[in-house]
Amino acid sequence: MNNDHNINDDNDLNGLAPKLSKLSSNNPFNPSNDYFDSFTSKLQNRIDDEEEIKSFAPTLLSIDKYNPFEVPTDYFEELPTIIQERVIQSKEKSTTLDWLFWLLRPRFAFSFIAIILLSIIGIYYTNNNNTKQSLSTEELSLEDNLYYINENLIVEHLTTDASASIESISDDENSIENYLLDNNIEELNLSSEL
Amino acid sequence: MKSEVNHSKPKASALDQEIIDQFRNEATRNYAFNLLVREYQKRLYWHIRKIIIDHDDTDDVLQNVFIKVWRHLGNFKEESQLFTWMYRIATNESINFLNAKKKRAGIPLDDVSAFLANTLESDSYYKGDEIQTKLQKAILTLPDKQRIVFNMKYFEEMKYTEMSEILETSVGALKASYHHAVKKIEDYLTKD
Repeated sequence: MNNDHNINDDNDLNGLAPKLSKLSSNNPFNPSNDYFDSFTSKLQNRIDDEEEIKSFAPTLLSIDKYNPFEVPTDYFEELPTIIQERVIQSKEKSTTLDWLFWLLRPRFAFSFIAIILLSIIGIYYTNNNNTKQSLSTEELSLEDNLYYINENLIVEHLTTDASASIESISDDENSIENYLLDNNIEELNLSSEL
Repeated sequence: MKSEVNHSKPKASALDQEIIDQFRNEATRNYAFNLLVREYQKRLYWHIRKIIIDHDDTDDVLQNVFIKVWRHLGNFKEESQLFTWMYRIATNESINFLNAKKKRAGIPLDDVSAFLANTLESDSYYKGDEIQTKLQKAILTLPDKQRIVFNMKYFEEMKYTEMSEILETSVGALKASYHHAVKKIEDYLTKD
């Protein structure tokens, strides 16, 4: 009897609204999973709270409890994207700073400073070596240059210099002798005075 | 009194645990964070908005809260529930923001009522009728901490035990604070 009644209802709906009759009759509203589990305790809490303040705050209880604040249209739809973008920005900014803070943590600071000191010493030492090496390279290059100069030229240059100095020395000796003779100074007296 | 604060390790909900686990995995971190924002953005927004009143300021603070959550969620010790932890961050950020704003405007920290009432009336996203506006102004006469307690209990209908974890205050102190707040609001509403 009941089935017959349902069949008749379905036929009526088909005739009246064929599109609607083809749609699923499942409930499309879906509250959160724990809604019905927590509903009783929430309701009881609310009753208890109201009972508690009813005696001394009747005016407050008479005012409708609703949220008078609003948000811009689509605010909550757009917010996750905005926050995700800000997180990416803050990640980019903080990467360099994080490294610095990480290195300056007490347990890493000593090692970090030691590495920097060793690096400075290393650089200083390497620079010094380079200077020495460049000096010895200069010396080598001088020797190389001498190697390519004609030997006879060097000998000639040296002997000319030597004879010139000998001549100048003998000139000096003659002038001293002349001075002594001119002033009638004897060599023996001079040596005893000295 | 302080010893009444509940320090037992709470059981995280399945979704919270999923978010925490996925966040700790580099490959699923962004997905988990997105899930977290979508799940908690409304609750945190309304919590902050009730403290700060102005929408634009609330938006700034909410974004800062989520940035902080992003930075510290990897080290979250699960000694409290995820939402409790985030509520605590949101509450502290809101109070700090409000104090900084009051300082910039040269208002004494304990004389905020008129300042916030002006904010309320000038906020284009406030649509309360006359009696509701009177109620909101009455709430704004409360000290910051008491105002937060009142809003959490009266509007958010939060349990004292949850509030105790968030505000790190004993249940007894919270009950007393709420009681005083209700009395003050009732007095304000009936004085004219």
